[in-house]
Amino acid sequence: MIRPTMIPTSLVSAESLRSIGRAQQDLARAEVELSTGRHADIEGHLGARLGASLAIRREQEHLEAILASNAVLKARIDGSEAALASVSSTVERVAQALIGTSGDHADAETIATLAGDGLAAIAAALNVSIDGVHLFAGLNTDQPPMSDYQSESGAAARSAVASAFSTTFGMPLDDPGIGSIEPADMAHFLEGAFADLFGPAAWSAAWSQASEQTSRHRISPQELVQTSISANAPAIRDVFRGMTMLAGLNMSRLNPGARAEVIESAQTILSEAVGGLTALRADLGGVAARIDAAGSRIEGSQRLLTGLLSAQEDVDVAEVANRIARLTRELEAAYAITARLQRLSLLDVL
Amino acid sequence: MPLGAGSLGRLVDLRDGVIERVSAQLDEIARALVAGFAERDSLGVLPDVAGLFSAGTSTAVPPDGIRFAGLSTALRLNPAYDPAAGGDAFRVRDAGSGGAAYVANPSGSAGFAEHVIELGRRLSAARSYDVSAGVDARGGPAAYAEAAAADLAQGLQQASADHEARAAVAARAGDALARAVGISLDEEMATMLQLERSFQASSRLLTAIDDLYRVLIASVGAA
Repeated sequence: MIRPTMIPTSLVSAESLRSIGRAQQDLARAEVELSTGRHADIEGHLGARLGASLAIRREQEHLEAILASNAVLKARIDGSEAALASVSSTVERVAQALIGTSGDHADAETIATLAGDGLAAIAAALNVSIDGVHLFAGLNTDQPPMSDYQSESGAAARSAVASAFSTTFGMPLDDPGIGSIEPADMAHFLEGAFADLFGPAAWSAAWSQASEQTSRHRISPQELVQTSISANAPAIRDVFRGMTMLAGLNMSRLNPGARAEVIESAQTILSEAVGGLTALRADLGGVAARIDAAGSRIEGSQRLLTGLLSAQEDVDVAEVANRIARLTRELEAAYAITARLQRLSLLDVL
Repeated sequence: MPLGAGSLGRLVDLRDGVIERVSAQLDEIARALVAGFAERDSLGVLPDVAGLFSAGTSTAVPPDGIRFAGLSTALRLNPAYDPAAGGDAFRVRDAGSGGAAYVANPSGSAGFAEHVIELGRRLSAARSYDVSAGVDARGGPAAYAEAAAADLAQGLQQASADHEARAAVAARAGDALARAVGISLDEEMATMLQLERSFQASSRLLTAIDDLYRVLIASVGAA
C-alpha cells in the first residue's frame, strides 16, 4: 500500500512554538530598547568597540570635572578682580588728596590718617578669601597674606620701618628732632633704606605671608594657567610703599621741605602703582577670557562626544517601534497557526 | 560535535580560560594604579615607592610590564595616606610617604597643585603591560581597563554568536530525531481504522461460516 509520508505529530507544532519563543525574546528586548533608547545588550552589540564607548564616557566625565572647576576659578578671578578694583580706588582717593594739599601741618595729619585707613582697607581687600582660599596668598592659600600696618598684626612691618629710620637718621621716629631732617637726606632715605624695605626679601620677611609662586590650574584638557595674583606682585608692594610713606613717617613733625619730599615721592610711586594694578587686572581679565574660551571649546567637544556615543549606543526609536509592531504580528500569526494545527487531528473528526 | 562541547567542558573553559584571563587583566590594572600613583625621589636616585595605592603591605612598586599575580585582591589604600590608619590624606597633595626625599611640597603650601597635576599626567601616560594578559593597550590604567572591558565584550559577542549557531543545530537535530523515531497520530489512527475494518470483516466472515454450519446442522437434524 502506498501511503503519504506523514510527519510525527510532535513536529507539527514544534517549529511554530520555537518561533513564538524567539519572537517573545525579541519583543522583550525591543521593549527595553524603546524605553531606554539604547541597545538592550550594549556589550554584545558593541563587542570590541566597547572600549571606544567607555573612553568617550571617561572623556565626558573629565570635561565635566574641568567645567565645574572652571566655574570655581571664575568666581576666584571675579573676587580677585573686585579686590584689586577696591585697592585701586583706595589708592586713587589718597592720591587725589595729595594733589590739592598745601603740605602744611594740619593737612599732613589728615593725609597720614587717610593713608593709615587706606592701608587697613587695602590689607582687608587683599585678605579676601573664597571657600577658605585666600586669593592673594600665592600657594599659602590657608593663611591671609597681609597684615594691617597700624594694628597688632603689623608690628613686624612697623618695627622694620622704625629701625630703617633710626639707622639712617640716628634718632627714633617719635624724636622731636626729626624736624631738622634735610629734604635731600629724606629723599636719599626714601630711595635707599626705605625702598629696600619693599624689596622681595624684606617684603616676605615683614609684610607678607604670601608665596611668590601662584598655583596653576587646568582650564581645558591642554591648558594650564596661573589663575591668581600673589600679594608679592611689584604693583602691590609699590602700593604699600607709597601708603606707608604717608602713614608711617610721622609726616606732620617733619619740616615743610622734607614733608614735600615725602608727598612728592609718594605721589610718583602711587601713580605708578595704579598703573601696575590696572595691568594686573588686565592679566586677570585675560585669564577669565581664556577660561570662557576654554569653556565654549569644551562644550563643543561635549556635543561631539555625545553625538559619537549616541551613534555607538543608541537605537533608532522609529525602527524599534516598527520592529515591535512586526514582532507582535508574527507572534499573533504563530499563535493562530499553532491553535489551528492542534485542531487538525483525525481524532476530532472520527 | 567536538569533545568537551557539553556544559561541563564549557564551565571548565570558563574557569581556566576566561576567568584566568580577566584576573590577569585586573592584576595589570591594579599594578598600573600602584605605579601611576607612585612617589618619585625628587633627585631621581632612589627607587619609586608606593603612593596612594600599595601592593599589600609592601611599599615597593612592582616592575613595569610583568604581571604581579594576585595584586587585584592585594591592592589597598596606602596606610600612610589613610587618615583612618593614622596616615595623612594631604600626601595626595604633598607626597612624601617614602621619606623626605619624596616630598613634593617642602613648604607645605596649601595651594600647591603641581604634584596633583603631575599625578594626572602620569596616570594617563603610556606604560607597558604584560602581553600574557591578552590585552594590547599602552595608556594608563583607565585606558587599559577600557581595553579589558572591550576584550570581555568581544568574548561575549563571540559566545552569543556561537550559542545561536549551536541552538540552531540543536533544533535541527531534535527535528531529525523526531522524524526518525516519532509517530504521527493521524497515521496511527488510520492504521487503527484499517485494523478495525479488517477485524470487522473477519468477524463477518466468521458469522457467515457460523450461519452456514447452523443451516447445515439444522437440515441434517430435520432429515
